[in-house]
Amino acid sequence: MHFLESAKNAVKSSGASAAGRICLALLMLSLFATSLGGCGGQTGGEYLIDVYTRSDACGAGQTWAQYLGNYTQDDLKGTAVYGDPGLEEAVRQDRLAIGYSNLNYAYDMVSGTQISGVRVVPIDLNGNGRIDADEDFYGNKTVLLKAIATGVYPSPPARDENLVTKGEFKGIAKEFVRWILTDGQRYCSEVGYVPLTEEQAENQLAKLGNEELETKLEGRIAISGAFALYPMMGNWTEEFHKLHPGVRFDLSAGGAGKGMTDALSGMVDIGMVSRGIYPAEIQNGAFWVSVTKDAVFAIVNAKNPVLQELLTKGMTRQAFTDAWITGNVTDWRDVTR
Amino acid sequence: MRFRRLKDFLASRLMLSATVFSALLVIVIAVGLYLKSRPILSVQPLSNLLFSSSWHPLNGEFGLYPFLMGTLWVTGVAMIIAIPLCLLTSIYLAEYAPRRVRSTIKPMIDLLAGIPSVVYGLFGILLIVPLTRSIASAFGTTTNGYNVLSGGIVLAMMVFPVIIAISTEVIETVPYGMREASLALGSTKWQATKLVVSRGAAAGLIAAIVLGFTRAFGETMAVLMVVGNVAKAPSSVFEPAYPLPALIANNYGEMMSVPLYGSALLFAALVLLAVVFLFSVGARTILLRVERGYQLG
Repeated sequence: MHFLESAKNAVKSSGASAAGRICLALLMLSLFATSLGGCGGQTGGEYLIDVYTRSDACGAGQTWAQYLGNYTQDDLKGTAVYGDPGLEEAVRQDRLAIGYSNLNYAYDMVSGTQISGVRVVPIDLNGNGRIDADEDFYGNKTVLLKAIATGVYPSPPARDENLVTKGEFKGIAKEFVRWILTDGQRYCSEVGYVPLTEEQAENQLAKLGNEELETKLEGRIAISGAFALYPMMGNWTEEFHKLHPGVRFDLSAGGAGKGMTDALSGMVDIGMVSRGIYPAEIQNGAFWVSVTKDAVFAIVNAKNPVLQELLTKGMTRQAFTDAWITGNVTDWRDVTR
Repeated sequence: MRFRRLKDFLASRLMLSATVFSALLVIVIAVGLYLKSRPILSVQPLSNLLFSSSWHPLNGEFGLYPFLMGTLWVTGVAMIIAIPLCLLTSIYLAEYAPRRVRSTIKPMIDLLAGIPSVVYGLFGILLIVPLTRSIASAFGTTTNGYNVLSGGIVLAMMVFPVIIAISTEVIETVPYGMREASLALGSTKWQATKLVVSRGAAAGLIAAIVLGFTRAFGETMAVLMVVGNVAKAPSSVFEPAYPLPALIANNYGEMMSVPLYGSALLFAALVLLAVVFLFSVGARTILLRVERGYQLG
């Protein structure tokens, strides 16, 4: 406690009045006391559900909230962690955790199976208390993508991935987006996304307009935004660069919200937004095309105490709402009852 | 002959303009933030913005109280951890360490200052978050690790190099005569350090701590990765918090998406600036008292 004495000496020699010294001493003491004590945090329990959500304004959170009802990301309660990788790591470290994640963070890019440490919670779509054969498509990415494409996996939490800019796409960015909507679609399934149907692609192309850039394509395209679309965009930028070596890309993640703000403020040419566009954003000049589709999933720790029941019974939308919105369900055993 | 005088004149004016520019920068930032905050200040009363606990942007409610408390809690914990450790370290490095130890350790500590914020955040997620979980269970409560204590520990690590570097310098500049006088009177080295050197260095030490505080108030990335980001004023170190810089960084993405949100975030930035400013002014007052104390005493 020499420090406290030195601090006291410093205060004494500073010439502060006796009252001032007492106040300072009390302040330090109270800080010390409260920092040690406190019955904060959770109050124990082997089966207490530990809910996680995203802290950054993101498409995954917004999509998940929309799936649960007419909610927004702010309505999702829980410990908020930054970024999709951050949320996954939080769930991986906490046995009692439940969170949500994008498809390509829950499933391994190369092997197509779920990544270790974390398990996807099947959704009990018909609410009959168990996962039937037609609800069981979580084994690997291929089966899952088919379920999303055919609409068996509901949408939300499946959603379109959008590229956003202010006003309209121009120049090489426009050609890049055009390429994504045509040739780029063939890379989707391999990376882990649902490609657009012919009709959908044509609708989006119509938005772009028909004039093609005649000159050789070169320059820099700046892209930022959703973690969800980041793996696909990484692949697309690589392939496009192989076709047109003069075109260079600045690609960064940061969440759908960041992508939108960056695009509307002109800081990037293309913003990746993994959710629908709001009216306020349209008013601010947002112009978008949908380029692919993927989904959000609920994830739990691989060592969850009721994991086996979770996998065979699944969870309903109501159960998710009880966890994230209302807080009515706090015990893992109640979930699988 | 005239040319020499001209160069002298130009040099002094150049330095003056550089100084004025740096000083003006703070004013420009403050004014800019204020102008951008006008939309929300015209809609909500200031007392609501500062003291209301309800943060529901879609309903137009922008109460910043939980975030103010979050900032104060996390910074407070960081300084409680950092100040004793840093002062003791700098005293050791300046007074006791053999030259070889000092020349090895000082660069290592300076290296800490260069590590990017995100790396601290990742380190925090991987090591500090589980650590606070164990600490909490040692105290009998539970936490998932994303709390004020994690934020405080990570912040303390970021503040170490700042405080230690300055404190060590300050202690080294205390005239050796003071130490010699004390030792000649029969004091031990620790007595000399505690009673004599610390007084001689007090002003500088306080300045170092203030600088550390200022850095702690504003660190964003590392803290937001481990602090839990729950918009409720914490009531213990094992609860999550939501400091102001984290609010701005996390919700930057909503600025164009929800009406008034951008203005609210810029107002939060203005509040942060005001907190740092108030703190600096307070610290400067203490510093003046300390210095005056020596001049008179």
